[in-house]
Amino acid sequence: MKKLFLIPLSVFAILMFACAGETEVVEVTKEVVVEKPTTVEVVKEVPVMTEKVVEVEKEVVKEVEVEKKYKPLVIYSGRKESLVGPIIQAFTDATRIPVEVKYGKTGEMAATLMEEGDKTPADIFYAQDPGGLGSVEDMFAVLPSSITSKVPDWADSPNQKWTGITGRARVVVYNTDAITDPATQLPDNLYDFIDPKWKGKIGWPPTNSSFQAMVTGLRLVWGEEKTKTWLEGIIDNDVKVYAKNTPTVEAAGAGEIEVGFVNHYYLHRFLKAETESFAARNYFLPSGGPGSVVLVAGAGILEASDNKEAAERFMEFMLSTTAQAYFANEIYEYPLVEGVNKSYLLPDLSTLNTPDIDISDLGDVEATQKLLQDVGALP
Amino acid sequence: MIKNKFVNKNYLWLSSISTLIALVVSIPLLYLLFRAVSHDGFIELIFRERIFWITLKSISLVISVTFFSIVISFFLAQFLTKSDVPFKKLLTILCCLPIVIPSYVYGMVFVHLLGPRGKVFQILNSWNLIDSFPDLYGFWGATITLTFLSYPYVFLPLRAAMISLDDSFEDASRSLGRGRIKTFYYVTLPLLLPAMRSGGLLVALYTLSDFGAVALLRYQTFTWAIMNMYNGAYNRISAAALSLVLVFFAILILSMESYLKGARNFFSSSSTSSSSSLIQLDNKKWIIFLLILLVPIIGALIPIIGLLTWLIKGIIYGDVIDFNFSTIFTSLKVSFLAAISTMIISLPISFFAVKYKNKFSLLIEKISYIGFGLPSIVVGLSLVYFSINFLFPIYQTTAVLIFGYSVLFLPVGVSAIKSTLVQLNPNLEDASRGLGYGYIKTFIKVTVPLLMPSILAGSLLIFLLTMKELPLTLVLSPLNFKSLPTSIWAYASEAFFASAALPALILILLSGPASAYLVLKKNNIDVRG
Repeated sequence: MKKLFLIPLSVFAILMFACAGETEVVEVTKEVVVEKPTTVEVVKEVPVMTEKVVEVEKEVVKEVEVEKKYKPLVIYSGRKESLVGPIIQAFTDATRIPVEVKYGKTGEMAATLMEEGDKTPADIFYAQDPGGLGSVEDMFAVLPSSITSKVPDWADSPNQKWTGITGRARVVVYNTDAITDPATQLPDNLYDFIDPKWKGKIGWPPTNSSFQAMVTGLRLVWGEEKTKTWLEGIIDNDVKVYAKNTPTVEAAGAGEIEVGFVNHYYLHRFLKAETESFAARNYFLPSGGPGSVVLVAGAGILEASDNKEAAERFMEFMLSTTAQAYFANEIYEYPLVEGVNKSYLLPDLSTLNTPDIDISDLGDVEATQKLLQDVGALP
Repeated sequence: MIKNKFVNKNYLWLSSISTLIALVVSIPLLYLLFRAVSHDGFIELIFRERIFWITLKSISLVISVTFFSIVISFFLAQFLTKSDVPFKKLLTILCCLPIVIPSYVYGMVFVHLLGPRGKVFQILNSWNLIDSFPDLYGFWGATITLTFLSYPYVFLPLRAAMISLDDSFEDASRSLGRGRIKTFYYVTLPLLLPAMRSGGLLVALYTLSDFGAVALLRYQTFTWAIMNMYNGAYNRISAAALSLVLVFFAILILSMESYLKGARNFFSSSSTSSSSSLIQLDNKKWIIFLLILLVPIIGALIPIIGLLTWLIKGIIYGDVIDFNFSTIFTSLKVSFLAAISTMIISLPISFFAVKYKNKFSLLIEKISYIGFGLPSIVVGLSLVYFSINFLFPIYQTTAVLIFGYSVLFLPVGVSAIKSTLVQLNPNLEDASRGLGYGYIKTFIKVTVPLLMPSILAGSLLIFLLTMKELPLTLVLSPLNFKSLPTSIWAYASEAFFASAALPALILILLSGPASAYLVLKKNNIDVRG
């Protein structure tokens, strides 16, 4: 009989144990404050100019006081920690604003936001692509023009609800054993891949949102009929269906396919992991058009956020030269802010002949889904 | 008269607790109904030719994976319990290992090594041994992957059932003149059927809900269509509508399972089961040994080798391998808590289902299984909706995450307890009560100790499943939450293979001892008393 108490007791214990994790936030703030004196010490070590040292010290003290009041900024990130973790850390280091992040797939994070509605704890949603941002556009607050004016007009939403942070080009990844001279062996535009000579040699990831954004681009530039003909042509060429970009690029490298339609930066991860021997390279379609549309990863501030000031500082930081240079050099994406250079491994954005499309129009996935279903690319 | 009153009181208690649990675990189902109702083109979305075809693909995969899982498990369990094959214990432990391998990791490594242009082909081709490799993409690739990942769901209960199988039944049958085959068909098989059924059910539902492996092996199933709705179309309403169809299939599978009539209850009267001598394999010993070894080689060794090559290559090329040690502790903590809390809520459901066999208890039991047949992202989102609206103070705490795991893995706990509970000789409990113990005291002093092995086995299984669960973890976890599966995913999906390999190997390494315990412990206790 005595042991019967064990059941509610253990349930209680579980809850206690489970809730114990939640006190961590407090600890984080403490840590930050403790770290401060070291900064002061470093300054003190400089023996010259005593006056200035005092000034700096005062500033530091002030900062510590302010910092205690900072609420942690909550970010839902559809971009992986392996990509954005370091730059989010840099934001905290620079501003002393603590950050709490929830990582997930863009689609699943968007769905989570929709389920949460007004009650969402999130201040910022950082998404992989315009479709993800567009899907929760109603939940975003209008961004100040000081933020949106930093990126070119095509790269943010017309109603200023979200902005692109980096650019990612659509390319054709090809196997270097099969295609030794891409300039002559590959067509100069996307449409010509419906030629039967490509039968069995093409791969694509049709459920991928960047791929679907590209198809939206095709619809906008080519029109419904031509896009449909193209999709049907590619399917008639026995296109191989992959789960997402990464396996498509891997398949191109392994020679499973000769060409694949993907985003440009995945290749660079493989080149890093497998060295130059990885047998695939990117082909930027010379005649450009909708096949080389540039998509963005971007972010918006949630209307329900009660931490908008910190959120705006985050957006500004992401569009600062520091962050943009990080994206360009570490993960090979295109910076969107003027004055920051792209990686030397990439062709210049202006040479891509990208179609004149506003990025937010690419977020209209519904009609694209319908078309992809009609032709049988999607169930 | 008095006894009746007691029985009714117990029934009332047990049925109300079970009903409450069933209500909680049907949150995903209610959520789907609620979401799908708001979908305008529900009929147009569902009744399309392409949906028909992927449905057919899903069903054929479920059938083939379940079939092969049972065949492999039967082969393994038969020789590992009833023959003198060498290194039996080691083999048994190895045969449990595949269950700890996440399906997305397996799919990735499988394609990397055994794809039509995978590493195996490349190496053999460079030695001029072959110039083509079988294309394992599609149906057969998906079947192989999922079979070798999920057969332990059948193997574990089947093995336990074979160990506790009282040979006196078979001996009696044979002494009454039935031949070996007839004895097997009329006596042995009915005794093993409950284990095969409960394991097979989990395999079938798991196959229905898996996304990682089927997508990577380029086999488009129903779950693939649902994931497209979330990640491509950003349309959670259509995703819900499609998921509702999946619920329908889960119900179909569940009712088929009840239709397959099992054994009438046989209870052994002797205190120890007698086991006759082992099958002598003689000179075929090593052939069987190698055949058995092949199973864990495909199921566990291949992914481990693949991960090791990624890791070593990363180290050689001087990659910076990020690893956060706190992820290990986090994973162990949540998995441990999930195992305990799931087992606690499994107990009333399984007791209700076994002790009071009626339509209502059967319904409650079936409801507890439905979550397992859904992609775990669906379960996760339904609990996001539920907990932010009704449990707001604890939203995004570990408590809600544990709650989510419990909803998802409840059927694993229920099937573990149930499989022993049905074999439990009720005379033991009657004797206890006859000797003056009350119902509660009997439960604690007699029933629970007798069930302990299966409670432990169930907990460990849930522990292992939680260790590798990803989609539910991502949506329900607290902010800044980092565990082993989230690290694997964060790196692997962006093609940072070396950094993904380390947490994956640690995950397998940590889960290994748990599965060893699962095997060794169960041996020692005879659950039927």
